[in-house]
Amino acid sequence: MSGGASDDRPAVPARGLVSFARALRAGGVRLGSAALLDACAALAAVGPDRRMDVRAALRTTLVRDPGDLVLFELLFDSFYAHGAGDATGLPAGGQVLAQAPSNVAPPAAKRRLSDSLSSRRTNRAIEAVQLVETNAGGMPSRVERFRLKDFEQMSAAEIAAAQALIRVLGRAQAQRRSRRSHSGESRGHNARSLDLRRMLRRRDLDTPRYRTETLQPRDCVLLVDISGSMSLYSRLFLHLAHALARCPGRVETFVFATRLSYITRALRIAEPDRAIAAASRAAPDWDGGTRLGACLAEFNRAWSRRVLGAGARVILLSDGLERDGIELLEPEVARLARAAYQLVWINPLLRSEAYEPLAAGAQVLARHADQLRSAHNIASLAELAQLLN
Amino acid sequence: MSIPVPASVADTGRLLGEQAYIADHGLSVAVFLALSLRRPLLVEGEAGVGKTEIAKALAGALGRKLIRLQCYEGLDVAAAAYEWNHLRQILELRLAESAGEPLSRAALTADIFAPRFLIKRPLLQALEPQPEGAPVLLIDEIDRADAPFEAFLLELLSEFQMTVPELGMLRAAVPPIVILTSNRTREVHDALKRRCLYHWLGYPDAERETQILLRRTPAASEQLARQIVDYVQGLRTRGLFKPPGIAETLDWAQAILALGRHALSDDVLTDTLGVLLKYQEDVAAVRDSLGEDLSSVPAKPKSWSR
Repeated sequence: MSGGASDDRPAVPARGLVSFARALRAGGVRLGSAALLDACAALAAVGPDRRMDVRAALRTTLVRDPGDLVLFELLFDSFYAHGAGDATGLPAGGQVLAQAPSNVAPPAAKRRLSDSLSSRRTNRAIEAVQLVETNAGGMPSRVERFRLKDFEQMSAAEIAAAQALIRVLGRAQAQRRSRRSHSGESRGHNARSLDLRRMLRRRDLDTPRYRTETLQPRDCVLLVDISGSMSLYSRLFLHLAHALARCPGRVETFVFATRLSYITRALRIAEPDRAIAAASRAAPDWDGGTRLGACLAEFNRAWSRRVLGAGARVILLSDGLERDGIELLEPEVARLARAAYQLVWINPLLRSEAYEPLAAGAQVLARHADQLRSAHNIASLAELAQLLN
Repeated sequence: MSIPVPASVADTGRLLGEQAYIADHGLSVAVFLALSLRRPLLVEGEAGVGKTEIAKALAGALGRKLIRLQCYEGLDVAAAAYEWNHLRQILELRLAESAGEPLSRAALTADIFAPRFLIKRPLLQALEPQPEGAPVLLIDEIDRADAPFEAFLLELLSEFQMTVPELGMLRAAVPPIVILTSNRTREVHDALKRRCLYHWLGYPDAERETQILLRRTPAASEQLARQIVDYVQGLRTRGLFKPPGIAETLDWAQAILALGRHALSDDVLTDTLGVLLKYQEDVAAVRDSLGEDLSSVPAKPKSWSR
């Protein structure tokens, strides 16, 4: 494979490595010093003569996540644009990068790289590069480029409600059979076989022990509608998601309005307000219109195989108001319902027994969802928690 | 028949090439580094891009034994590393009893937990010396195992040692060459990733995919190979639910040849679509576009002959 003329030039070996790692960290790549030592060893092994070798060696030692690849490629191009010298011993990532001319990553290359990977990470990569360019040429800062949702402080009543939720939902984990077994005395129907290892260890062959089956929490996927029509509820739902993320078992959370954003990592922050602020930064489309079909299509294509593997339950928090037509929505909802263990649609509009889904999108959801629940107050959420249990 | 570890990136690529594995430059570097730094290599990528094949090709190229551990949920130490042969142990106890030998308890324990009662599973086998040199250990689809098993691998992958309580610590004299693969059905834990070198294996470009196809399917003419690759590359840009991987490309080429055809056409495509696409929506979407101008289906219909 030919890497182009520029890839055959000598590149900087270990000298600028620390600054380069700092720049990667500034872009959000989690990187320990062990990885840096690996990178040094890798550079020594491939030798510093060929730029494409250096690039691949650094990539295979410093990047552990495909989502970070775009950032890596862009930073590498900026960083090692001038060959030796330039990248040595400069302090912060942004300033180092500001030394690189902004034309090193031509727009077409950026776009190509961006298109090849998912949106959130791409944003981060582009942000990092924008940060560089901002420092270089005084462009608007990245804070202004995204329309961030600024959550006000929660009221006391809301906090109480959220805490009630956390207590309820902490117990609301559905379970499924695990393929792991444990040792027990029971001879019941769930005993799989004699546990000879345990019996031998106990030096007691006369008291039988059995391998018995265990249960484990069922995976859960939350899809939270954050479009304008849901703005009354979305904050409460994110608190719910945050509470669920702290429960045992795997919980993956997505928000959507006009596009789908993955916010599981943001919700891992322990402190709720900070976690939700981080989640709001991860999604650029707060209070936008609803493109339910397109967002579910993206979920089905990009995520369902990754998060629905072990019989996960999907909880869709939405009012079912779709801006686009239902031609796209119907097959995507049907696919989602088939792939999930159970599709639970939680609709805050469902306030009374007399609610009939009139909007076309809501009718589609009602047709395919396994369960339909309301969620406009704490009582209905407690009911929901019982369902999930 | 042991072959020394390659001394350069180019050698690594050439060695893999001899096994009909056409690696791109990034992968050659990753494999070369895994060999020279003696670190495990974690390969992630879509299904059917040749992750598992790397380990097979590497074992073939170096003349080493390939030891494969297929991961699944509930995989435990007994299935992955070692297990005591309890039945034989109990039999031994009963025999000792019936013979009426006055064995001390300590002697009996030492006798019962002797290596001959140990059943060696893949991970333990990989630590043992092999006549042809350190084996290639393939830990396939690590994302299917659960988190506790990943934690168990940490000691093995960083120190190449394992502790069997009854026997003590077992350590590999020469560390095995370890390849881990993942389809990303869940995120592999950072602690495990940190111990590995990492490579993301994407779909190949048209040129490399054609080379792979010609190497793996010698019966295909170059013209057919280019048609197939152009079509498949076009399909990958169409936003299908599951775009075909290289494995599907190879299967498809073999299917077409098995039907005795040597060029693509509408009816060949109709007959063999199931080899290429495994989801009904995808099959339907492509079939719908068949009635139209066929050349509008792929993105680059340059070598399409109608």
